[in-house]
Amino acid sequence: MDIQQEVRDGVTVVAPSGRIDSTTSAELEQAIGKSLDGGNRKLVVDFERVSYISSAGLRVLLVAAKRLGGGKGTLALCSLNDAVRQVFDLAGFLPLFTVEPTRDGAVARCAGA
Amino acid sequence: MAMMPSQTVCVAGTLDGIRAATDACDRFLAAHDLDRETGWPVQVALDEILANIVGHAYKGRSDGVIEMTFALTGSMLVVTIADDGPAVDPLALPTPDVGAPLQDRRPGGLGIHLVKQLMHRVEYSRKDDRNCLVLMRQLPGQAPDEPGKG
Repeated sequence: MDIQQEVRDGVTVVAPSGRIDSTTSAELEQAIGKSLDGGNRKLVVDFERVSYISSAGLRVLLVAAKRLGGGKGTLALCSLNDAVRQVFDLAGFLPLFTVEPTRDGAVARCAGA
Repeated sequence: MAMMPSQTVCVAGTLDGIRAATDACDRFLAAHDLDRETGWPVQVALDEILANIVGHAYKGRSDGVIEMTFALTGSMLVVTIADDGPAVDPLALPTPDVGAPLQDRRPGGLGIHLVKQLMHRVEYSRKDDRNCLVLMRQLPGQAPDEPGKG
């Protein structure tokens, strides 16, 4: 999996690509874990290039949210396509996360939190 | 009985096997011009079931094989998945509380919950010492064979 990362306004943006499933979720977990281990407390996961996500990917986000203390605004998600949004919705995950339409919006929400 | 398009694939009960299964599913979807709306829910459901098999039924085993058949039958895309692990009916697992607050969330059971929601019907059976799970997804623009969800 190709995972792009950038830091903007003190917010780390992690942008995975393709499918996030049982065969790729470990890479995403590693990228996010490394960022949090390094002390980052403001994280955006950008789904712009993600085609779909299974529960293996949801688990990674759940772990990240718990590590960040569940404080809304420190972990934001953005650019969810219909497939990704539907899985989040079915899993009851939408109320657990700050979800923004764009990366700019998600970074702004995190930076101001 | 009329011939219907179907393809059977065997993969190893490992993460590499899941990768091969996902690719085989992609190829079947593409070969039959099935659109993304039909494809992704089937891919997610397939990943959930295979991950369960590799992580549980075949845990500690390196010789496990998973057999899958992709088929178009009437108005349904049907994926049949068989393993020879211990008898487990994943459909009997408790449903997770998808309304719980973050601190009470556990990832367990979420995959099967997604499978039940994303497929129009799901059936489990144990035959010949194998677990057999049948996933059915309605094709777009087709009248349902049977009403309701499985």
